Amino acid sequence: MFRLLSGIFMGWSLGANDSANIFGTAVFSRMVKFKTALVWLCIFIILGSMLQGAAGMHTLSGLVEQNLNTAFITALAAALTVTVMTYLNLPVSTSQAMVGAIIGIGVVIGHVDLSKLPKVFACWVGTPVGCVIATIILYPVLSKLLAKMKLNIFQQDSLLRFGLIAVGCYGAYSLGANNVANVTGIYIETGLLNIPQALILGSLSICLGAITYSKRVMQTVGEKLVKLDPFSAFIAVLSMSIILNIYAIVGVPVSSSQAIVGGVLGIGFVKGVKTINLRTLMNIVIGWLTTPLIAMMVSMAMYIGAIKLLGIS
Amino acid sequence: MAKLWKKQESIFSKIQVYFEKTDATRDIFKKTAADLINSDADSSLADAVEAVHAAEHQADNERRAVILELYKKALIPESRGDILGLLESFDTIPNTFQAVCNIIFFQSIKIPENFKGRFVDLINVNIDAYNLTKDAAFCLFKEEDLLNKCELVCDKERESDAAERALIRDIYSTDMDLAEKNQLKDVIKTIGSISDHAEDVSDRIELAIIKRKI
Repeated sequence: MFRLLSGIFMGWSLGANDSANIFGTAVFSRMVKFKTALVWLCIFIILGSMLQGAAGMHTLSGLVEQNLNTAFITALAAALTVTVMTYLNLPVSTSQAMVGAIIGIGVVIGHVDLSKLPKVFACWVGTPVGCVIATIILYPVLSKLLAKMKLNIFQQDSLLRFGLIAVGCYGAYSLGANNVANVTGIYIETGLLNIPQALILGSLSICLGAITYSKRVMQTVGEKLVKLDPFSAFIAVLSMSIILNIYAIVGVPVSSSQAIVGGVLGIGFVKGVKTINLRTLMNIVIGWLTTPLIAMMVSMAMYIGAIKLLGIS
Repeated sequence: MAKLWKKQESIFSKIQVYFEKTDATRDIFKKTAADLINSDADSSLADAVEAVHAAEHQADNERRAVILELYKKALIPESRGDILGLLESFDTIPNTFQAVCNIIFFQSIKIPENFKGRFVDLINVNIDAYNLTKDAAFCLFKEEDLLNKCELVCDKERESDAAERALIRDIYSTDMDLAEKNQLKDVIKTIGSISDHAEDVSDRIELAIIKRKI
């Protein structure tokens, strides 16, 4: 059972980092208390995982044939990659780290099911692009609707506050649905967990990360998002949530951080202003390339080391 | 839907109280300023000048109560900033009411007989600017259309400017002592600044409304 610890570590890391994209705006601008946001986050992460998380489990568990030891090493390599890269302030995505780590094990074993990879890669690129498109569509439609409602400053304020909390809950749902596979998906192939168990353990470990370590990340991300006007922040989070949910249905875990960057970039396109600098965009492209590569090398090194030093297979 | 913004009703009712207090300051100012002009800043008007000060102080207290309420009720920072900015900017108007009375009374300024009517007219134009600004401010808090309310404030400011210029020009064309002319010019400028402040407030209102329409 100790082999599950690396998955829990992965979930913790994911919860600590990604919940900031969802409730960062609302918490940083003090529209909702951090503790209240955590309650909503946990409820909806668990709901999302349980109701729609199973599809992603099938995608990841089918990439490489895993046993208990490789599953442990895969999750540990991915989690270490995410944690170290986050610590070094480098762009990182848990989904990409997990896929990279799985492929690393597959390379050592000598068998990777490459047929699923084009779908996975396409979804990675499609995440920020999809969010840009969603924002470009949603922004004018919803702003016209808001203008038609003829609300005074207080009514508009209340509606936006409610909206930010509502999209936060939807975002948490989508995060749970989309990313739970990153956490415990690899244990299914090994038989250590069945799908419902994997969904429960995965979602709970994401919640653990959100509860114990997301506050500071939330402030950092929230500060960036609050620079947008509240309506734009609402649209960016809504676009991210929709795209994550779509990929959850498709069954491919993607990056919520890259999704929110896509949303903010879309706001820039709609308003004709520069919301994201070139460096941030370059970071996404670098993240696409480096994260899976680093995770792959880490998992390969760990697995080879384990074979040579501990004699495990 | 109504339940959703029930929380904000208490802020609005406090803002209404604040505007009631600034209206009270305006009324006392209007009477006191006219009395000061017509009585050559008679020392018996000390209580009236103090009443303007007291009314302004009460309005200030209400403004602080609104600010406190704004922080108690969780508003989006942008909305809070807009309301705070508006109130802060609006507050300069009752402050100027007080300043006009203080200048005339403390410096015992005597307005020449042939100019008294025009000074009172200038005060009335500036009070109109205040009234229009307050109406425009309500557009932000109620579901009323701004229409051309901010434009009307600008028109009043222009009217006041023209009256100020004409009054200053005519005062300097008299054979009064230069020091007296300068004193009168200061009074005129201070009265005129009421509509300048009103215009600043209306600009803020317009910006806040435009921001919410984009």
